[in-house]
Amino acid sequence: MKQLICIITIVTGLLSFRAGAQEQIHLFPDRTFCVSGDTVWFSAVISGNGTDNTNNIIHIQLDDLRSNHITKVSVASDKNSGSGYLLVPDSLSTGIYALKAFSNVQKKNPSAVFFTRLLVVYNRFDENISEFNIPDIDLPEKNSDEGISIAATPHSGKSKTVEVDVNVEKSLRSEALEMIVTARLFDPFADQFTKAIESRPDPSMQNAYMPVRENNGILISGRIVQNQTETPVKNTPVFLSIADTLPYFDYCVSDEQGRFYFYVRNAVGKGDIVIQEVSKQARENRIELLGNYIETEGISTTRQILTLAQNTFASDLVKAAYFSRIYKGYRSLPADSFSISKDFQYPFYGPPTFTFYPELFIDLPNFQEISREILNGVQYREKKDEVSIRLLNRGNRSIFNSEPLKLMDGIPIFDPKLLSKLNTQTIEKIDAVYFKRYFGDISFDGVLAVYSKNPTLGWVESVPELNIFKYTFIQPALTPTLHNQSPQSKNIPDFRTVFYREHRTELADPINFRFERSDIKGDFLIEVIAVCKDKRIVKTRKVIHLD
Amino acid sequence: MQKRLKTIVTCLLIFAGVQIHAQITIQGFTLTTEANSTKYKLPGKQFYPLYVPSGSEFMDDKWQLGYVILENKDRYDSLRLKFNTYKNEVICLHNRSMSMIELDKNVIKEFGFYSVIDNLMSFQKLQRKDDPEDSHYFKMLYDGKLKIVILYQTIEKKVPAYRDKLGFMRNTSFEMRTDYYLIFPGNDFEKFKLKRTPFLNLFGVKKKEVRKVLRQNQIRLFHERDFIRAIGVIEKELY
Repeated sequence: MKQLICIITIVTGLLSFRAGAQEQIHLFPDRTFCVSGDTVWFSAVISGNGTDNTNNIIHIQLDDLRSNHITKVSVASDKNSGSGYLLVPDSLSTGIYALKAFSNVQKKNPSAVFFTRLLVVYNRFDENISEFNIPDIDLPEKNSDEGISIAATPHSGKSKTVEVDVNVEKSLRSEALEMIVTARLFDPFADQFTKAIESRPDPSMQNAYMPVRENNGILISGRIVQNQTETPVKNTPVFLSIADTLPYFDYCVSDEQGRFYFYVRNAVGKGDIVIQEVSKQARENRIELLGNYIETEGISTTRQILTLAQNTFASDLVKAAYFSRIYKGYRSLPADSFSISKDFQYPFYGPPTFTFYPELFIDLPNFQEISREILNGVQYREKKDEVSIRLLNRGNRSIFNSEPLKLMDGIPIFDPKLLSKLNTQTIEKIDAVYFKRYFGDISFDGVLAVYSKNPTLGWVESVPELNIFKYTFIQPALTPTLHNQSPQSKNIPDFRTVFYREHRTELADPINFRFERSDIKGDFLIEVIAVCKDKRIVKTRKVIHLD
Repeated sequence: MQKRLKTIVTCLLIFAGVQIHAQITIQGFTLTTEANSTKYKLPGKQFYPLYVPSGSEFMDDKWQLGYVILENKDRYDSLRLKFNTYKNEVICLHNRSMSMIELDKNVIKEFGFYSVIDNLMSFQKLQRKDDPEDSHYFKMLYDGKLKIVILYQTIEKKVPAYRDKLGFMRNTSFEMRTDYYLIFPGNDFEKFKLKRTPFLNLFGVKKKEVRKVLRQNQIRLFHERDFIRAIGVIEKELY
């Protein structure tokens, strides 16, 4: 009997340890409210993964309370801690929204826990905000944890300066890894919802696809279906290409459900990706990308009418956003830059046997002339409107029997006629590989890569098999420039809602700082969050009421 | 007439099909989801073996099971590999198409063979300080601040004329050479022979100290393993 108890205890212990070892992501936005069009900055901490840092990509999505997805960003964390920003769409309706953070591996885990943070959004065109659908769950006022005390002293008179002293107990100071300090406007309505809501994945999500540990990389997934019948197209090769100075290329074979995936590493920003199905039926099928969102159950809501104070605050905030745009204009953050760092010296087709620079030669009007005069080893034939290209095989000193892999600015093309009109003025360089090349399980009878002087992908739309998508990869690292800055000119009103935000990893020094309040009247709040070595979160907040 | 037309149409259709697939050749096997991977795909070019009448262009003529680690740290295991010591390239047998692929050296960081006695034989791509463009695969014997590596090189050597198995007269033979290198901090390659005096001479002004360290640790330099042990001790005491 004793033995049985022992075994049960050990098994229970092991199970609880396993459950405890589950990865969790804590999200700390810099505010609980915003006006549509604002930028919400956030910090995120991965806990429960021990010393494993092989999964450093955190996805943050903004959903409505019914779990409809609105927008999403992905950030790369360093030592389990990351930060970024989320642009709240300008047209988003007034309401309460949910910020959810997750990693790709959590999608396969039906018992994963997500901590949802609520964000109250006031639409900037709403003149009278009087009621909200609020979550129908118990959200008690968050009590401050022990170990941190905050003392704030607003300067007297007209000064808007506030001095803050944060006292962290010695025991916590030694345990804490990092601290996030925020000073912002207090919203009498939104600050009811500061507590994180625990949610679990929707059962329909359990058939998660490709749970890869994303380490400085993003998993792109999609599916191929027949246009007419919507039937998944299985076992068909799909190519992904990204035009760049060193073009990116990968392939995947669609599974039973027509799904395919590509794991793209070190791609930062928003860039164009080209996906094509390589089959005779490509024109009959459609390629669509699957959104990388976490599916959780919606939150039930109940109607609540705002109090006068809450209503006044909301109206003031909307007006402030309106005047802020008049005085400062709209500053969008750089979202469309794109870069992909290279792990290797050469493109996927290896070192070129020859690189030709046509501009060094006399002007030639078309590709046929270029191949004749410049490209030795390239056989270009035009016969009765049909074009064929063959390359020299240096491996066995012969001519390849089939077409080489042709790339136009890094995008594989199957129709040689696309090259026909190119002339010496439009071509930057031509890489030719006179060997049979292998890339994983596929091979090419030589490679002919043409790079144009103005590499735009406008031509891609004229080729029906090529599908171009704008894809958002890892968010470029930016520091919030609007925080901790008082207005540059005293003649311009200051409409900041977040006055101070600091991410500290050096915790030996005492924490005291000062910040300038903005011109928006109201109480303000100071919040200190400590992330401990054991990934415990210690949180303290203090609301300063002003007369 | 109709039969002929059908044949022509069929031929044309097949031809069109071949045209579109001509760029990607998948030889003798069906490309399935097995080909999918989140790793960087192994790149290389078709390998054509040389006709070698005497000797071999490989370190071992038999295919050996091994691994490859790419520059981006992706690892491939259970590959059938051969080390071509004539070209200093790794040759991989593509299991499904049975093609021989010369793997791109610029992509590979390390490769190795699992030997029968679980003793890993690993080769790392290293670049000499004096010639950073030219990288070679070296067998790693000791990897620390100091390194002992071996460069296996097969050369075509002139030999007295003989008749090969096809009956042709030949005067060359492929022979593999083994060169030991000691790599000092700063990527300083020094070639040495497995002999005590030339080995001690590599340390220049530290020669006396090295000799003392070896004496204190009772290391006699006869075999390869003695030199490896000696470097471990020298590194610990003097570097």
